[in-house]
Amino acid sequence: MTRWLPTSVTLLMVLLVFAAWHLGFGAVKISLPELWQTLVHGQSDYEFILYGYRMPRLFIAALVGAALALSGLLVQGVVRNPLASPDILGVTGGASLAVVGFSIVWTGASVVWVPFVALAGGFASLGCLLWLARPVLNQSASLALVGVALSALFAAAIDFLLTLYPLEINSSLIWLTGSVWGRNWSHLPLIAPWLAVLIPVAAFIAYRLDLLDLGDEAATSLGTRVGRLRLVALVTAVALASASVSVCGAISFVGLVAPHMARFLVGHRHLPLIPVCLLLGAILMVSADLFARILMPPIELPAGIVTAFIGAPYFVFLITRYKHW
Amino acid sequence: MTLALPVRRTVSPLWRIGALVPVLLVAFGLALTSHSQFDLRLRDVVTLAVAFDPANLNHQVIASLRLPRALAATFVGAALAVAGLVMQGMTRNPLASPSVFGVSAGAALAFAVSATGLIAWVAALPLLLVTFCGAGLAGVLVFFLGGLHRTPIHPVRVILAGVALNFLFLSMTRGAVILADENAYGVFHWLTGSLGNVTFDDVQLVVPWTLLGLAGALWLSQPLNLLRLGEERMQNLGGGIRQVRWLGSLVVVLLVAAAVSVAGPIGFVGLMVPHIARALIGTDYRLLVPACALLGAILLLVADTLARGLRFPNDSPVGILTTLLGAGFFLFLARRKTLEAMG
Repeated sequence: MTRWLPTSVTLLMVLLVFAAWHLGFGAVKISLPELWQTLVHGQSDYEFILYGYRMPRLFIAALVGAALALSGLLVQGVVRNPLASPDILGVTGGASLAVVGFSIVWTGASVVWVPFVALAGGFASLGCLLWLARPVLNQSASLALVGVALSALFAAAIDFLLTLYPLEINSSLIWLTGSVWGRNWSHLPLIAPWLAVLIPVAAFIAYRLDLLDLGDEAATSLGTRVGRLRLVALVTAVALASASVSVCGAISFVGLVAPHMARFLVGHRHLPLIPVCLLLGAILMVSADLFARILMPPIELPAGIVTAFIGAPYFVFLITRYKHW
Repeated sequence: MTLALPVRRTVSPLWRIGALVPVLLVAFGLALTSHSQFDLRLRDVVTLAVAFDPANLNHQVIASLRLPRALAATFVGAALAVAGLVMQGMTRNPLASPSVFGVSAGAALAFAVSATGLIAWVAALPLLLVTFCGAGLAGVLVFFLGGLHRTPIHPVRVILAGVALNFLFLSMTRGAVILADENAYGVFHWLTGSLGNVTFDDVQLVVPWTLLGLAGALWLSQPLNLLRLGEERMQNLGGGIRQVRWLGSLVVVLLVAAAVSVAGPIGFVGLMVPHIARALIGTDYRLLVPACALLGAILLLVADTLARGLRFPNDSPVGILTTLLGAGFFLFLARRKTLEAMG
């Protein structure tokens, strides 16, 4: 399968189109030639808007989408479960609950700590899930059910905390639904290094994940340490999901939808899936944020609501098609 | 030789239902008096019941502020609990309930669209009709997408479809509220369900429809008992499965619509109460319907009283408390359900 290169290039073009639209649209509209002038020739008319507001938001959205998509790909590869993704299994919910709790207990804490708190929350919720569902780990639908129930509990706890200790409304909305509102350059270091480290890790284990698709026994006899591989892949997936939560809250369904679309485009081998998946996640997230802004300007919706519009029907479609009950 | 008849030592279920009535009265009294800026006592309630004194400030507070709220809690709790019971009976699925299957979220979405005036002609319709349509639409979607029209029904599939639709409606409600109301603080109010602003008008809206729904549930209780034996056996015994499904759906949608119109989507009451009632009463639906109505009322009255005390001088929506409690309960049930499926 060498379709991945043309597919990736096409997806990159799509991403660029959405990115240009994203940069141009807003209270001040910037036309395409003006955008070109500002970016390439350094014309100063729109420099402040572009570099101060829209560019960081675009980058954050793209990186978060990519991280979530890769996280979903790894989770689905490890548990061999088409219904799995970090948000359905409750990992993003646990991470955002940890961050909400942290920001209430320790007001004015440095933003540097947020990714680590999110990571701790993500791992704790993964531990809870694995412990609660240990007899049904190989049953996709049952694992998804326990994960969904766990997410419901985390969501209820977040509602509870935010009602008792009200934060400012826009930051509350971030933790309730996930939003790229008000993200700026200072948030970029919270996610970019994680991606820089974890994408190579994912690429490194991609070949072994292909072996895992053959079944545990076949993978073992081909020289894979299955237990350790699972651990590495899950840790990577949780770290990616938690990093994205620490920037813009629990964005739903990107981690579920992007890997499915990627598999539809380039088949089931993990190495070519990784770039396609990253690009698809970025496209989904950038377009979601774009539509969240152009639906009814000047009011903007949280991007998490738009991804739910796409993702929830897709999830229902998946379970109506799923055959292994 | 005489046959020794077994002596029944257990308390009859009817007496247990009867024992719930004083509990309800105590909960009602507490809901009327506790956590107030005024020094309200149970004695005030008693004197109020005997003779209303317009000059007495405590009487005025209880009669005009507390009474509608407590009445609404009673009827909303009863409606949600019985709706959950009928859903669990119809689908024979212990996890079925208005909040898990997205029926209350559908009603809440319709409510939000109507109340924020986002679509003008919807806002002109009567509120109960709008929420009724919302709940009905959500119910129909879950019914077909979850595969309830096929046999065999797969229980986990129905729940996953319901949860996903619930999430979708929730997101749409959030979107509608944000688009209509830029400062967006309403989001919390709309999504958690609260009894804070209930008036006598609301009580007049919820009481007749809840009573009608309860009557329908009682009428359904015998067919639901038969359905417990399985669909085929029910038809062999002469029960009309289709009739039960239609009437049951109508009752559920009516009860949920009435409850949501007054208090918003108060979560998980319909999931928890039928399980508690089964532990107390057994499995006979003729007794479960009144028991669920009483227990639901008690649960919501107590939860509302507790929620008022959470941040005392300020009011907190009762929905956050029931949702937190109920989500834990949902997790417990989901785990048990998956373990049972393992065998």
